[in-house]
Amino acid sequence: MIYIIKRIFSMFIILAILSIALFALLTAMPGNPLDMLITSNPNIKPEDIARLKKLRGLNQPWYVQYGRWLWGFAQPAYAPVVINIPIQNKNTRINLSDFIYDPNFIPTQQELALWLDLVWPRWQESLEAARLQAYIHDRKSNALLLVLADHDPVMHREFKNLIRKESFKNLELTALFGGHIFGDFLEINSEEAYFVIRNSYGQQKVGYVTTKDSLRKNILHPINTQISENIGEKFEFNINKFINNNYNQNLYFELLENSPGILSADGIYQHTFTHNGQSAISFLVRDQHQHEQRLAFDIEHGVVAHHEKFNYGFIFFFAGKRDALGFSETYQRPVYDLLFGPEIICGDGRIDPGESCDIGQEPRHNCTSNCFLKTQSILSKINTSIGGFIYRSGRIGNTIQLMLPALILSLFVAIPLGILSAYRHSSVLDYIINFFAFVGISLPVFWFGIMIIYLFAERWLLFPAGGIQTPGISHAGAQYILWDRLQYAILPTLVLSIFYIGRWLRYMRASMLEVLPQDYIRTARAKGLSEKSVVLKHGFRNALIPVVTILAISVPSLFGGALLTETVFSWPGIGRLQYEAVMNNDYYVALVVFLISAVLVIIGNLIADIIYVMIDPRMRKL
Amino acid sequence: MIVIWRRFKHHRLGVIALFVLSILVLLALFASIIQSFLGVSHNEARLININMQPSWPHLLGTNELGQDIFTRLIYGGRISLSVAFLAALSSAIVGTFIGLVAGYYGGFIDALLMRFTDAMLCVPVLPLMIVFAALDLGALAEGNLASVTKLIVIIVFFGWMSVARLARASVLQLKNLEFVAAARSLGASDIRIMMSHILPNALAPIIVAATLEVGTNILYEAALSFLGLGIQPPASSWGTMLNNAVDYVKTSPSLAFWPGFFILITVSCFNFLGDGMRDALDPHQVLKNVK
Repeated sequence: MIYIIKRIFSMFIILAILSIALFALLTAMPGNPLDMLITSNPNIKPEDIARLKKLRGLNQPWYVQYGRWLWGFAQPAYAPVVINIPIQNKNTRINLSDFIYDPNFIPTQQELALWLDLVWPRWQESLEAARLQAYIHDRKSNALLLVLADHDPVMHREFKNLIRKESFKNLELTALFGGHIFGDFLEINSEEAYFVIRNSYGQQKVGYVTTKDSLRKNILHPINTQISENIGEKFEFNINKFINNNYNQNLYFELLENSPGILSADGIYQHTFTHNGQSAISFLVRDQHQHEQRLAFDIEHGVVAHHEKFNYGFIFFFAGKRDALGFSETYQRPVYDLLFGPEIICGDGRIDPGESCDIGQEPRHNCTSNCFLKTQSILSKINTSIGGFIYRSGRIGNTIQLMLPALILSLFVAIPLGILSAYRHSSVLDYIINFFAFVGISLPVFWFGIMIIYLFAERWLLFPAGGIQTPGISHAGAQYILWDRLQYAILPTLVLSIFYIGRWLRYMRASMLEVLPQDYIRTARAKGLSEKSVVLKHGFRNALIPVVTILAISVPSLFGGALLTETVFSWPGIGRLQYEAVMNNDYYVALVVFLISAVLVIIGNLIADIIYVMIDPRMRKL
Repeated sequence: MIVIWRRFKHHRLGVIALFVLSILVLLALFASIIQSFLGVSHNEARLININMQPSWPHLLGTNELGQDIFTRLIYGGRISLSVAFLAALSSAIVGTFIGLVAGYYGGFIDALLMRFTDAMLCVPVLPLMIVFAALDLGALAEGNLASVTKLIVIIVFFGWMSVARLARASVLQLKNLEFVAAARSLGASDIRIMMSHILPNALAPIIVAATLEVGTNILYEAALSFLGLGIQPPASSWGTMLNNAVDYVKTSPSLAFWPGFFILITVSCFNFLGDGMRDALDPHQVLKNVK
């Protein structure tokens, strides 16, 4: 016990040294976290850059920055209060095609170009022509949509309708319960509704909507401001400042029911708060085309003292304060959300698991370093189903989903083969197994991944080439998400497990070879035990000890393999995050990811020590 | 030497690996002669030749710029192999030095060096390599081969640990033997004892580890170059070729196939060679296997 405490204590020292060294290294890299922001916005002025740098403390020397980060990290706090904003009444009409995505429908390049011509005749003269061309070439209709959304919501809607019409030809809709179908619309008259969609090929899907879901759909661009306001004083606040009004349209505002205060049509909010706490203000914005959008913001007034009960587990305690881990400039999200959190809500309300939105898809609101997407916490409350659990697992969850099955699969293959190979030492079988094990450890993972993608995804079209799930599938329901994600997971898991199998097989074989000529094995045979008992009980158990050591030690290299696999398969896991963070000079993300992997390594060693004691009775006396 | 070779001959895969590796090294050494013999170019873009099928003189076809794939591969092999060799050699030297010092002096120095080694073994290598590769280490070298030098330094920085541990383990065994005591009683200095008495006897595992390291280094080099952080143009290695080929996987998969295949073959051969050398250099292992 004292030993374990000592180990944990030394772990903190190692981590502290490691984090200082890493931070110094990361800041020594050319560029800084603001670069992404600056290069993506050509209109930014030098004084703005200076201001932003000052705001984020980037003008300080690196050790001051490190101190700031550590201070933020060390402040323990509980998870923030989540407020569910009731803005939706039950009798709602929902356009079903907004909720259903047809994964089999990919428009051709010509179709995309034609459609784009229809809604935006002069798109080829625009600044983004090259990007749009690239999207057409890759047939990324979703990305196209979102570029359009960046320009004009009307254009976006038109284009979306064009695509939807094409993909939802001949759909037959039936309401199961909770609502009625009117054409393409579903009118919900209870908390939730189920419906069936059948296409002309007879394929059918059961869909499910809740009014809470429509709430999610409607808060597209939440304004998250943390405005502390004194109680009893009149609070006035201009919403226009927080809205990205790119086209200088005339906007009209309207406060929704259940929100306190008064909101004038030109966006001035007034209220006198009388109690401590946090209020969610939801309102409607309308442009001159009568397009509506529901938006919301949070106001903290007085002393916000109450915290929700702590429900995330130990490691999250340290990260409980969501901005304690720092803020990612590249993703415009708190690192905490990036790692553990639910997905980001992209421009059109689509949700990407742990993945950042494409360019042009960013949630458009003025983020300060304190800003986080509160609606995501609302989401995480809604999605309590299995599918919901999986698809809001965050980057770490994604990596574990990839690594754990691969590890288990490879151990299941490697250990029996290793035993067999050692048992039939110097036989033809041993040579063959050994040969393939050597090839396995010599295999460049990334190349193997590319070849597998080419064969299975490009040539035979059996599995998707990359990513973690079909965009938009999250609207379909838990069972579809599971099936969908399984298809995406097969190839990377296969590649990663082949990377592991060779190593474990070699270790297992070598270890068994050490053990099998020992005297106690001979004794066991002499006692007349069965071969099975000799090999598995006396041999295997003793051979396992060094293998466990190596398993624990090689956790860091597992991360390396996961990094390459994730990069090749564009799997939004922690390895790819690490790579992207380093490439984008996103110090905080890189640092946190490094530290997490370091913690995992140390914990791995600790677990190995404990397992020793379990499998080797001799250790118990020490 | 002859004894070792005789033992090595028993390891059939090791012999085959040695043969294949010598061919690869010869190809890399005589790349320019082969190129002029074939009359093709590894770096000149010829638009008429874009994406040709394998034929004479383009043995493996041409790439998207009309460059000959086969000669590019052997030129890339020059870079890949030399990076891997030099990095393995340097990390063997660094590791041996650290291991010798730690094992010979023991005590505080040993504890300090070995804790450092353990810490280095624990860090996730590839992500840290990415950080180092992204650093601007312009002071290290200038010119076309700057990226090569940088890469060697990075690989050595993360590659010396296994050698250091092996060297330390052998030194701990050897330093209490009679011949060391004899040398010490004759008044030999610490450096002399380490270099001419202990080191030659500890060399066998170090050589094996260094051989296996060459294979690992090729993989690291390829991975970093594949991520776009390793060898920078105009120099090109197998990893860089793979990086370029990824965009064309749909249309010409062979572009991506060959560099990776060469990496696979080379790394496997180094692993087989290392295995064979372990059997040849470590008599205990052989005896055990025979028994």
